[in-house]
Amino acid sequence: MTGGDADARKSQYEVVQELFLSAVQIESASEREEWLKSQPTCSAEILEIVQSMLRSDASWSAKSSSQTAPNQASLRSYLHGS
Amino acid sequence: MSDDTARLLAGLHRVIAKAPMRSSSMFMLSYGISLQRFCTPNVPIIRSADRAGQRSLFANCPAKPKDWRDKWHFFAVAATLMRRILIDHARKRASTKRGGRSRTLVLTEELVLSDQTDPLDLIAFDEVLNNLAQMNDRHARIVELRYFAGLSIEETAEALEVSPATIKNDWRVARAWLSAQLSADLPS
Repeated sequence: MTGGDADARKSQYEVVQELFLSAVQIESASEREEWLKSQPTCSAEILEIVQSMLRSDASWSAKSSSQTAPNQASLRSYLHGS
Repeated sequence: MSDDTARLLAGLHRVIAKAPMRSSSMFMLSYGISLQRFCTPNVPIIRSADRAGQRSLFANCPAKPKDWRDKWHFFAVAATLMRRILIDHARKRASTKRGGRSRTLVLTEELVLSDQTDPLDLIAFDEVLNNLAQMNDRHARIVELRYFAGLSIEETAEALEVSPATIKNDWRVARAWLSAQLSADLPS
């Protein structure tokens, strides 16, 4: 990866971060999508990344609310159990 | 036990003795996947055949025990080492793996692993975490501290000397980005 590529990826990540953090404040999925599409910094590629991140975030939120106890032993069982 | 290992353990015990921490920070110790277990010969994780790898791990270790600045420095190094141990372990499992790839790694508040975890998932996670470090080093360090050293939001904030609110936002972005990258990495 060239220095220019690395800089481009950093810039893209910054844009993605900003859009994602703003988008999660919007509760309605349809409004969020409309808002994202209206952003001048949101190219098709970035839109896809942010949408995928929002799906992951929603999935995590659902899981964490139903999680009753953290599984802190999982790393150990992974190492010892195989 | 090598001199490096002895110093590492001495440093570990010093940290424990001087700086009692909440259980979430001490999970590696309390659940037995501590550096001591890693370093002690004849444990299932590291056998004699892996000594060379063990030496190279320490050779690449960013700090030696005598250099610990504080407990957070120790946990940063411990997290990096823990990550290497898990990825090395996953690589060994992957080399004997048969069959296709399936998404088994779900990124939640903790890195939850089991016997069913596809080692290729863990290796892919390591790769995307490396990519993240190139774009935002702090985000990658947060993920490492939280997943591999078990630090809480508040502890991570203290370790990285930023506010818990910043860590919360960064953590949320980093985790979602990693998940998105891992999903994109899978064959459809």
